[in-house]
Amino acid sequence: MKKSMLLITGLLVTVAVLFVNAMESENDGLEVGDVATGFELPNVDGKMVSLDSYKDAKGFVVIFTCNTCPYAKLYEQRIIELDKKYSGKGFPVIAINPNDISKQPGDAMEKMKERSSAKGYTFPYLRDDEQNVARAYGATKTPHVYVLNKEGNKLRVEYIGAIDDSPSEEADVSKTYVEDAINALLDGKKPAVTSKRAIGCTIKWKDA
Amino acid sequence: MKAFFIAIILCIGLSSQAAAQDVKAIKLPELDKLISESSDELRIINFWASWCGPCIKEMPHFDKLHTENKAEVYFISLDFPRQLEKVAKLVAKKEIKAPTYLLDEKDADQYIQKIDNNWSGAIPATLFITPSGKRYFYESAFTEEELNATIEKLSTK
Repeated sequence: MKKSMLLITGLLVTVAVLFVNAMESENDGLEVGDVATGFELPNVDGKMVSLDSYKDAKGFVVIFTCNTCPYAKLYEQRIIELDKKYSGKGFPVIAINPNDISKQPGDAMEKMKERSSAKGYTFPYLRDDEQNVARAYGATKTPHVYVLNKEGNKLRVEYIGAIDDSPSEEADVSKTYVEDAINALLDGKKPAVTSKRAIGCTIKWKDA
Repeated sequence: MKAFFIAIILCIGLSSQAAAQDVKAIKLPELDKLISESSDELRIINFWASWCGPCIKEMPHFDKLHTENKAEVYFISLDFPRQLEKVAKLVAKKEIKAPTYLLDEKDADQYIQKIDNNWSGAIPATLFITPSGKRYFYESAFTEEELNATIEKLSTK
Protein backbone atom coordinates (compact mmCIF):
# COMPACT_ATOMS: atom_id res chain seq x y z
CA MET A 1 0.00 0.00 0.00
CA LYS A 2 2.74 2.38 1.08
CA LYS A 3 4.69 1.50 -2.06
CA SER A 4 1.80 2.24 -4.39
CA MET A 5 1.20 5.58 -2.64
CA LEU A 6 4.83 6.47 -3.20
CA LEU A 7 4.54 5.46 -6.83
CA ILE A 8 1.44 7.59 -7.34
CA THR A 9 3.06 10.58 -5.62
CA GLY A 10 6.12 10.12 -7.81
CA LEU A 11 3.99 10.01 -10.92
CA LEU A 12 2.07 13.13 -9.90
CA VAL A 13 5.32 15.02 -9.31
CA THR A 14 6.63 13.92 -12.70
CA VAL A 15 3.43 15.05 -14.42
CA ALA A 16 3.57 18.40 -12.58
CA VAL A 17 7.20 18.97 -13.59
CA LEU A 18 6.45 18.09 -17.21
CA PHE A 19 3.47 20.43 -17.16
CA VAL A 20 5.49 23.33 -15.73
CA ASN A 21 8.26 22.70 -18.28
CA ALA A 22 5.74 22.67 -21.10
CA MET A 23 4.34 25.99 -19.87
CA GLU A 24 7.78 27.51 -19.62
CA SER A 25 8.78 26.52 -23.10
CA GLU A 26 5.51 27.92 -24.37
CA ASN A 27 6.27 31.27 -22.75
CA ASP A 28 9.76 31.33 -24.12
CA GLY A 29 8.54 30.84 -27.67
CA LEU A 30 10.43 29.02 -30.41
CA GLU A 31 14.09 28.18 -30.45
CA VAL A 32 16.26 27.02 -33.32
CA GLY A 33 15.55 23.32 -33.86
CA ASP A 34 11.94 23.56 -32.64
CA VAL A 35 8.95 22.72 -34.79
CA ALA A 36 6.99 25.88 -35.61
CA THR A 37 3.23 25.98 -35.55
CA GLY A 38 1.29 27.10 -38.59
CA PHE A 39 -1.21 29.94 -38.44
CA GLU A 40 -3.98 31.63 -40.33
CA LEU A 41 -4.16 35.43 -40.28
CA PRO A 42 -5.88 38.16 -42.31
CA ASN A 43 -3.86 39.70 -45.13
CA VAL A 44 -3.94 43.24 -46.51
CA ASP A 45 -5.89 41.96 -49.54
CA GLY A 46 -8.81 40.96 -47.29
CA LYS A 47 -8.12 37.23 -47.58
CA MET A 48 -6.90 34.82 -44.91
CA VAL A 49 -3.38 33.44 -45.35
CA SER A 50 -2.25 30.10 -43.99
CA LEU A 51 1.19 28.52 -44.33
CA ASP A 52 -0.57 25.23 -45.18
CA SER A 53 -1.77 26.69 -48.48
CA TYR A 54 1.82 27.07 -49.77
CA LYS A 55 2.09 23.54 -51.13
CA ASP A 56 5.20 24.20 -53.21
CA ALA A 57 7.15 26.14 -50.58
CA LYS A 58 10.34 24.60 -49.24
CA GLY A 59 10.13 26.85 -46.22
CA PHE A 60 9.28 30.36 -45.09
CA VAL A 61 10.87 33.60 -44.02
CA VAL A 62 8.45 34.71 -41.30
CA ILE A 63 9.16 38.34 -40.35
CA PHE A 64 7.45 40.14 -37.50
CA THR A 65 7.53 43.74 -38.64
CA CYS A 66 5.39 46.87 -38.69
CA ASN A 67 4.70 50.24 -40.31
CA THR A 68 5.96 52.38 -37.48
CA CYS A 69 9.30 51.12 -36.12
CA PRO A 70 12.26 53.04 -37.60
CA TYR A 71 14.29 49.81 -37.71
CA ALA A 72 11.49 48.06 -39.57
CA LYS A 73 11.41 50.96 -42.04
CA LEU A 74 15.17 50.72 -42.53
CA TYR A 75 14.72 47.07 -43.46
CA GLU A 76 11.56 47.43 -45.54
CA GLN A 77 13.27 47.53 -48.94
CA ARG A 78 15.59 44.69 -47.94
CA ILE A 79 12.56 42.58 -46.96
CA ILE A 80 11.03 43.23 -50.39
CA GLU A 81 14.33 42.20 -52.02
CA LEU A 82 14.47 39.04 -49.91
CA ASP A 83 11.04 37.99 -51.12
CA LYS A 84 11.88 38.79 -54.75
CA LYS A 85 15.08 36.77 -54.50
CA TYR A 86 13.80 33.75 -52.58
CA SER A 87 10.04 33.27 -53.10
CA GLY A 88 10.76 31.79 -56.53
CA LYS A 89 13.29 29.45 -54.94
CA GLY A 90 10.71 28.20 -52.44
CA PHE A 91 11.25 30.51 -49.46
CA PRO A 92 8.57 33.23 -49.58
CA VAL A 93 8.47 36.07 -47.06
CA ILE A 94 5.45 36.14 -44.75
CA ALA A 95 5.30 39.48 -42.90
CA ILE A 96 3.26 39.72 -39.70
CA ASN A 97 2.37 42.94 -37.88
CA PRO A 98 1.65 42.12 -34.21
CA ASN A 99 1.50 45.64 -32.69
CA ASP A 100 -1.52 46.59 -30.60
CA ILE A 101 -3.28 49.30 -32.60
CA SER A 102 -4.60 51.14 -29.55
CA LYS A 103 -0.96 51.79 -28.64
CA GLN A 104 0.24 52.18 -32.21
CA PRO A 105 -2.61 53.37 -34.46
CA GLY A 106 -0.19 53.59 -37.38
CA ASP A 107 -0.17 49.78 -37.49
CA ALA A 108 -3.91 49.33 -38.14
CA MET A 109 -4.96 47.16 -41.10
CA GLU A 110 -5.96 50.23 -43.14
CA LYS A 111 -2.47 51.72 -42.68
CA MET A 112 -0.89 48.37 -43.50
CA LYS A 113 -2.89 48.27 -46.75
CA GLU A 114 -1.68 51.76 -47.66
CA ARG A 115 1.94 50.91 -46.93
CA SER A 116 2.00 47.58 -48.71
CA SER A 117 0.44 49.01 -51.87
CA ALA A 118 2.55 52.19 -51.82
CA LYS A 119 5.77 50.19 -51.46
CA GLY A 120 4.65 47.34 -53.69
CA TYR A 121 4.96 44.49 -51.22
CA THR A 122 5.25 41.21 -53.13
CA PHE A 123 4.44 39.15 -50.02
CA PRO A 124 1.52 38.82 -47.60
CA TYR A 125 1.41 41.40 -44.81
CA LEU A 126 -0.74 39.90 -42.06
CA ARG A 127 -2.32 41.35 -38.93
CA ASP A 128 -1.89 39.40 -35.70
CA ASP A 129 -4.58 41.23 -33.75
CA GLU A 130 -4.74 38.68 -30.96
CA GLN A 131 -0.92 38.58 -30.85
CA ASN A 132 -1.14 34.80 -30.52
CA VAL A 133 1.32 34.10 -33.34
CA ALA A 134 3.87 36.60 -31.99
CA ARG A 135 3.57 34.97 -28.56
CA ALA A 136 3.76 31.41 -29.89
CA TYR A 137 6.90 32.30 -31.85
CA GLY A 138 8.41 34.27 -28.97
CA ALA A 139 8.84 37.40 -31.07
CA THR A 140 9.82 40.41 -28.96
CA LYS A 141 10.56 43.13 -31.48
CA THR A 142 10.23 44.39 -35.01
CA PRO A 143 11.85 43.32 -37.23
CA HIS A 144 12.30 39.77 -35.90
CA VAL A 145 12.95 37.00 -38.43
CA TYR A 146 12.26 33.24 -38.27
CA VAL A 147 13.56 31.09 -41.14
CA LEU A 148 11.50 27.89 -41.29
CA ASN A 149 12.37 24.79 -43.30
CA LYS A 150 9.77 22.22 -44.39
CA GLU A 151 10.48 18.67 -43.24
CA GLY A 152 7.58 16.58 -44.54
CA ASN A 153 4.59 18.27 -42.97
CA LYS A 154 6.62 19.88 -40.20
CA LEU A 155 8.22 23.33 -40.15
CA ARG A 156 11.60 23.34 -38.47
CA VAL A 157 13.04 26.62 -37.12
CA GLU A 158 16.52 26.99 -38.62
CA TYR A 159 17.40 30.63 -37.95
CA ILE A 160 16.11 33.37 -35.62
CA GLY A 161 17.09 37.01 -35.43
CA ALA A 162 18.51 39.79 -37.58
CA ILE A 163 18.33 40.11 -41.37
CA ASP A 164 21.95 41.28 -41.70
CA ASP A 165 24.65 43.07 -39.75
CA SER A 166 24.03 46.67 -40.82
CA PRO A 167 20.61 48.15 -40.04
CA SER A 168 21.78 51.69 -40.73
CA GLU A 169 23.37 51.39 -44.17
CA GLU A 170 22.60 48.62 -46.60
CA ALA A 171 25.89 49.49 -48.33
CA ASP A 172 27.81 48.51 -45.18
CA VAL A 173 26.31 45.02 -44.89
CA SER A 174 29.08 42.45 -44.60
CA LYS A 175 27.05 39.52 -43.30
CA THR A 176 23.68 38.56 -44.80
CA TYR A 177 22.47 36.23 -42.04
CA VAL A 178 19.02 35.41 -43.45
CA GLU A 179 20.24 34.93 -47.02
CA ASP A 180 23.09 32.73 -45.81
CA ALA A 181 20.64 30.60 -43.81
CA ILE A 182 18.29 30.16 -46.79
CA ASN A 183 21.18 29.43 -49.18
CA ALA A 184 22.43 26.70 -46.83
CA LEU A 185 18.94 25.15 -46.62
CA LEU A 186 18.60 25.27 -50.44
CA ASP A 187 21.91 23.36 -50.58
CA GLY A 188 20.46 20.78 -48.21
CA LYS A 189 22.72 21.97 -45.37
CA LYS A 190 22.11 23.39 -41.92
CA PRO A 191 22.80 27.13 -41.61
CA ALA A 192 26.24 27.86 -40.10
CA VAL A 193 24.85 30.80 -38.12
CA THR A 194 21.51 30.04 -36.51
CA SER A 195 20.91 33.15 -34.44
CA LYS A 196 22.05 36.78 -34.48
CA ARG A 197 20.50 39.49 -32.41
CA ALA A 198 19.84 43.07 -33.46
CA ILE A 199 18.29 46.14 -31.93
CA GLY A 200 14.62 46.64 -32.66
CA CYS A 201 11.38 48.15 -31.37
CA THR A 202 9.58 46.29 -28.61
CA ILE A 203 6.34 44.75 -29.86
CA LYS A 204 3.47 46.88 -28.53
CA TRP A 205 1.64 44.28 -26.46
CA LYS A 206 -1.99 44.61 -25.43
CA ASP A 207 -2.45 45.40 -21.76
CA ALA A 208 -3.09 42.19 -19.86
CA MET B 1 16.98 99.44 -19.14
CA LYS B 2 16.52 97.61 -22.43
CA ALA B 3 20.21 96.73 -22.48
CA PHE B 4 19.86 95.34 -18.98
CA PHE B 5 17.07 92.97 -20.03
CA ILE B 6 18.99 91.87 -23.07
CA ALA B 7 21.96 91.15 -20.83
CA ILE B 8 19.79 89.06 -18.50
CA ILE B 9 18.26 87.15 -21.39
CA LEU B 10 21.73 86.53 -22.79
CA CYS B 11 22.92 85.27 -19.40
CA ILE B 12 19.97 82.90 -19.07
CA GLY B 13 20.56 81.70 -22.60
CA LEU B 14 24.24 81.09 -21.95
CA SER B 15 23.73 79.38 -18.61
CA SER B 16 21.11 76.98 -19.94
CA GLN B 17 23.47 76.20 -22.78
CA ALA B 18 26.26 75.46 -20.30
CA ALA B 19 23.94 73.18 -18.31
CA ALA B 20 23.20 70.97 -21.30
CA GLN B 21 25.48 68.00 -21.21
CA ASP B 22 27.83 66.88 -23.89
CA VAL B 23 26.94 63.43 -25.25
CA LYS B 24 30.04 61.37 -25.90
CA ALA B 25 30.39 58.29 -28.08
CA ILE B 26 31.87 55.32 -26.25
CA LYS B 27 32.99 51.82 -27.17
CA LEU B 28 32.02 48.53 -25.54
CA PRO B 29 35.02 48.39 -23.13
CA GLU B 30 34.00 51.78 -21.70
CA LEU B 31 30.43 50.56 -21.28
CA ASP B 32 31.76 47.39 -19.67
CA LYS B 33 33.62 49.55 -17.20
CA LEU B 34 30.44 51.49 -16.38
CA ILE B 35 28.65 48.20 -15.75
CA SER B 36 31.34 46.45 -13.77
CA GLU B 37 32.64 49.28 -11.55
CA SER B 38 31.77 48.80 -7.90
CA SER B 39 29.44 51.29 -6.27
CA ASP B 40 27.63 51.84 -2.97
CA GLU B 41 24.57 52.91 -4.90
CA LEU B 42 22.09 51.14 -7.11
CA ARG B 43 23.32 51.65 -10.67
CA ILE B 44 20.85 51.89 -13.54
CA ILE B 45 21.86 51.67 -17.17
CA ASN B 46 19.06 52.51 -19.55
CA PHE B 47 19.30 51.61 -23.25
CA TRP B 48 17.38 53.89 -25.57
CA ALA B 49 17.41 55.62 -28.94
CA SER B 50 16.18 58.95 -30.27
CA TRP B 51 13.77 57.13 -32.62
CA CYS B 52 12.22 55.03 -29.82
CA GLY B 53 9.00 56.60 -28.50
CA PRO B 54 8.55 54.44 -25.37
CA CYS B 55 12.22 55.08 -24.49
CA ILE B 56 11.84 58.86 -24.55
CA LYS B 57 8.63 58.60 -22.56
CA GLU B 58 10.29 56.75 -19.68
CA MET B 59 13.54 58.78 -19.58
CA PRO B 60 12.28 61.50 -17.20
CA HIS B 61 11.45 58.84 -14.56
CA PHE B 62 15.02 57.58 -14.64
CA ASP B 63 16.46 61.08 -14.75
CA LYS B 64 14.46 61.98 -11.64
CA LEU B 65 16.18 59.14 -9.74
CA HIS B 66 19.47 60.73 -10.78
CA THR B 67 18.58 64.29 -9.75
CA GLU B 68 17.13 63.07 -6.44
CA ASN B 69 20.28 61.02 -5.78
CA LYS B 70 18.30 57.80 -5.50
CA ALA B 71 20.41 55.90 -8.00
CA GLU B 72 23.43 56.22 -10.24
CA VAL B 73 21.80 56.55 -13.65
CA TYR B 74 23.37 56.31 -17.12
CA PHE B 75 21.62 56.63 -20.45
CA ILE B 76 23.15 54.66 -23.31
CA SER B 77 21.90 55.70 -26.74
CA LEU B 78 21.89 52.97 -29.38
CA ASP B 79 21.45 55.46 -32.19
CA PHE B 80 23.76 55.27 -35.17
CA PRO B 81 27.00 57.22 -34.53
CA ARG B 82 26.24 59.69 -37.31
CA GLN B 83 23.24 60.79 -35.25
CA LEU B 84 25.29 61.92 -32.26
CA GLU B 85 24.31 65.55 -32.77
CA LYS B 86 20.61 64.68 -32.96
CA VAL B 87 20.94 62.69 -29.72
CA ALA B 88 22.72 65.60 -27.98
CA LYS B 89 20.00 68.02 -29.10
CA LEU B 90 17.27 65.75 -27.79
CA VAL B 91 19.05 65.30 -24.46
CA ALA B 92 19.32 69.09 -24.16
CA LYS B 93 15.69 69.63 -25.12
CA LYS B 94 14.48 67.02 -22.62
CA GLU B 95 16.84 68.53 -20.01
CA ILE B 96 18.29 65.14 -19.21
CA LYS B 97 20.82 65.51 -16.40
CA ALA B 98 22.07 61.93 -15.96
CA PRO B 99 25.23 61.16 -17.93
CA THR B 100 24.39 60.10 -21.48
CA TYR B 101 26.59 58.24 -23.94
CA LEU B 102 26.16 56.88 -27.43
CA LEU B 103 27.39 53.31 -27.88
CA ASP B 104 29.46 53.33 -31.06
CA GLU B 105 29.59 49.61 -31.88
CA LYS B 106 28.47 48.00 -35.11
CA ASP B 107 28.15 44.40 -33.94
CA ALA B 108 24.85 44.54 -32.03
CA ASP B 109 24.80 40.77 -31.49
CA GLN B 110 28.09 40.99 -29.61
CA TYR B 111 27.17 43.82 -27.25
CA ILE B 112 23.61 42.58 -26.71
CA GLN B 113 24.96 39.25 -25.47
CA LYS B 114 27.52 40.95 -23.29
CA ILE B 115 25.02 43.28 -21.64
CA ASP B 116 22.54 40.49 -20.93
CA ASN B 117 22.21 37.08 -22.48
CA ASN B 118 18.41 37.15 -22.20
CA TRP B 119 18.11 40.41 -24.10
CA SER B 120 16.60 39.91 -27.57
CA GLY B 121 17.61 43.42 -28.64
CA ALA B 122 14.27 45.20 -28.17
CA ILE B 123 14.40 48.65 -26.62
CA PRO B 124 13.69 50.20 -24.20
CA ALA B 125 15.76 47.93 -21.98
CA THR B 126 17.30 48.61 -18.58
CA LEU B 127 20.02 47.00 -16.52
CA PHE B 128 19.93 47.45 -12.73
CA ILE B 129 23.04 46.61 -10.72
CA THR B 130 22.75 46.44 -6.94
CA PRO B 131 25.64 47.58 -4.69
CA SER B 132 26.36 43.89 -4.06
CA GLY B 133 26.91 43.47 -7.81
CA LYS B 134 23.72 41.57 -8.67
CA ARG B 135 22.35 42.29 -12.12
CA TYR B 136 18.67 42.57 -13.03
CA PHE B 137 17.73 43.09 -16.65
CA TYR B 138 14.34 44.28 -17.93
CA GLU B 139 13.47 44.26 -21.63
CA SER B 140 10.46 46.51 -21.19
CA ALA B 141 9.33 50.10 -20.61
CA PHE B 142 8.64 51.48 -17.14
CA THR B 143 5.95 53.81 -15.85
CA GLU B 144 7.08 55.98 -12.92
CA GLU B 145 5.14 53.71 -10.54
CA GLU B 146 6.67 50.54 -11.97
CA LEU B 147 10.14 52.03 -11.76
CA ASN B 148 9.71 53.10 -8.14
CA ALA B 149 8.33 49.67 -7.22
CA THR B 150 11.31 48.03 -8.91
CA ILE B 151 13.77 50.29 -7.06
CA GLU B 152 12.01 49.46 -3.80
CA LYS B 153 12.24 45.75 -4.52
CA LEU B 154 15.90 45.89 -5.51
CA SER B 155 16.86 47.94 -2.45
CA THR B 156 16.26 44.84 -0.32
CA LYS B 157 18.47 42.60 -2.48
